[in-house]
Amino acid sequence: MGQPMRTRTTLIFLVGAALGAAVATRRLLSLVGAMTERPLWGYGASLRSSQVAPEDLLRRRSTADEQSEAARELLGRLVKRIKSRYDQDAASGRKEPPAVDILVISGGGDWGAFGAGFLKGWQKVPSYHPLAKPEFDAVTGVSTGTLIAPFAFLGDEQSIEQIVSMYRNPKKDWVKQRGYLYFLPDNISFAEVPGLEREIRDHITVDMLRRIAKAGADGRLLLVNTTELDVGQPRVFDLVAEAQRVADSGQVERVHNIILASAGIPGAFPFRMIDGELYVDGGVTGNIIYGGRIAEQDSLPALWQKAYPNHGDPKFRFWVIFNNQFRPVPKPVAPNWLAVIQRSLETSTRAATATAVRHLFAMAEISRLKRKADVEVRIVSIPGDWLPPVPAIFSKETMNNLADLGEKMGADPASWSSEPRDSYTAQHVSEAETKPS
Amino acid sequence: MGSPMFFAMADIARFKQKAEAEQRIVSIPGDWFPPVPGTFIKETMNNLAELGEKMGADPASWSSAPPQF
Repeated sequence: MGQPMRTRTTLIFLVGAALGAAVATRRLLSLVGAMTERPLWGYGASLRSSQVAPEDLLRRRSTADEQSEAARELLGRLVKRIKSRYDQDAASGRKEPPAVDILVISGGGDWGAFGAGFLKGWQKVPSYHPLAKPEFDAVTGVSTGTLIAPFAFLGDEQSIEQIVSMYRNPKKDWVKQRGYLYFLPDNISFAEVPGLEREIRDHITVDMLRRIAKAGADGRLLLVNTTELDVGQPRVFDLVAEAQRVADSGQVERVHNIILASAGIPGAFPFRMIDGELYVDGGVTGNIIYGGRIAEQDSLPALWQKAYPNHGDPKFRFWVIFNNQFRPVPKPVAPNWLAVIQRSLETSTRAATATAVRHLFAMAEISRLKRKADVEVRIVSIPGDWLPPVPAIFSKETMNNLADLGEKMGADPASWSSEPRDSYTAQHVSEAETKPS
Repeated sequence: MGSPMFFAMADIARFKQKAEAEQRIVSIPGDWFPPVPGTFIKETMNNLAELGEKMGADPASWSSAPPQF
């Protein structure tokens, strides 16, 4: 769910440690497997990969042009919606161009409790406040952000409460070790996620998806990122289009699969097969979706100006919820390869996300400088001095602590930073609590 | 994501500071395949060294556009 980080990476790398012990067992099992003509453990992922010719993989890899075309189509829908809002505002006598609000929710695993709580707290900011929670024109999510995004897209109190409640009540079976021989390398993953699959089934229902299809019929976007591992590329799914298919067919499994793929920590959680291809966590190729792969001339402000050169520019507002810390709490790393790799990976993912955030700020700056566009970017993140109360992952205590923190920060517009760094501290939150009102 | 950021920084320097900033990038072509699987394989490393030498000798190898991937 967004970060091959922290303790969970232990699971992945224990595979390596366990290899030696497993070799003899594997030989025996391979022999029996060959006799029965089927893999005994997992789904035989290694067999699958070897059947794909390199030339086929190259053909499958989408080109930059194809990706740009898909992005232009999506942004074109958004531009039409903005124009429609523009016309409505003009008809009602409003002089100011509309604001276009884009919510970007990052990965972060169980730390997504922060983002869910933040959305709930944000609802408490009075609607007259300039930083009140708007109706979003677009919501993007990756990994744990993908779990939150559909609820944020609907945006009503009940939906927000539903997702907060899910993060506040993790169940023991959300993530389960795959039996005693969980470490065998032919397993599709270290862990199973029966509880997480159940939560997705229970919360992402046909009814909910019908509501999403309806809410997105006027061009609002709900996008989530996954990673197609064979070709090593991101694949962004348009969940409004997917929801419309569900509304038409009643078949919801594909959407569940997309969400579970987007949140599928590689190696730890099972990969997912979609359209015959193998998908893992969207955080592998991009822990936030913000248009960073789109050429400047295809960006939203550029498309707007191209389509409607004689209209004033709307205000574009990006709201980024980073379900992580910009700067990790320093800690001594044990002098062994497992600890070194674990710490390196979490540092790498966090650094890549921070660079993506800086890129978003830079893109906004370029739009302002080049096009005189009105683009604002704001970000919230888990304060750098916050420490989890319990070291385990998917711990109820930690997740509730983060949901509490998120609610408090969400209710305080000062939580938002207009620079690509955290400007808020956990100390700040606790001091605010003790101040007399 | 580092290289798009690099290009963006140069853009900002040009627009904001009127700086004369040029940036060029070369990379292993997307349709290159390692001749042999594995890491630190002599055959693959020599193949890449030859490719690098050829591309290095050809100024057209440089791209001044942000990488598309």
